[in-house]
Amino acid sequence: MFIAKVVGNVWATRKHRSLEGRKLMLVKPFSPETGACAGETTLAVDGGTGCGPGSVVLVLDEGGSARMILKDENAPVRTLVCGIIDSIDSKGKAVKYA
Amino acid sequence: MKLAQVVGRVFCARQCCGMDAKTLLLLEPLNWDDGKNAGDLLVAADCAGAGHKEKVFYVQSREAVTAFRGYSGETADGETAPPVDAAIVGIVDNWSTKL
Repeated sequence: MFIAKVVGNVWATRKHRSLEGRKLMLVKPFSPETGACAGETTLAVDGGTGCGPGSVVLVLDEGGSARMILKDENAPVRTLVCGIIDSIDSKGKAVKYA
Repeated sequence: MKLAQVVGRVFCARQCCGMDAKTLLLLEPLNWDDGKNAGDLLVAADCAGAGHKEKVFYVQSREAVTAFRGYSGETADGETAPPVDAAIVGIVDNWSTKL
């Protein structure tokens, strides 16, 4: 799993059947030390957390567990938002994210 | 899942078994931030019915085979899924990046 910031979302009416009814977010890897986003933006399916643009989230990066969360063994999903981060405690420094 | 634009189609008279029923589209990968080119062309099997010049998002490696398994209408339950490593799973209507 990696820490990421939701930078936007995607609207798609025609898509794979197991993606219907799911929110599609655009996430960018976020490093807590520098507090900045770095890396490639990718599309992550929202696993029911209700996150929106600007929130710092936990993104799963493996297909098997993503299908387990979505309870659908035919879902072609690899990156999935599985949590909204409240605070990160790294190297003795705790940072809160609203 | 990455963004791409359909720029063409690939026809193969002879190809491996199980791949014959799939339309192969030529994709130009774009990046989500500004929609500019982000790599060289790739061929992906189509699962969402994308047309020319449409912006789509696609999955790669193991998820591409999973997209065709089960009820996507292209593979009957008895058949094995096609041996592909990239599959288009949706057509993008619009996307917004704020930061």
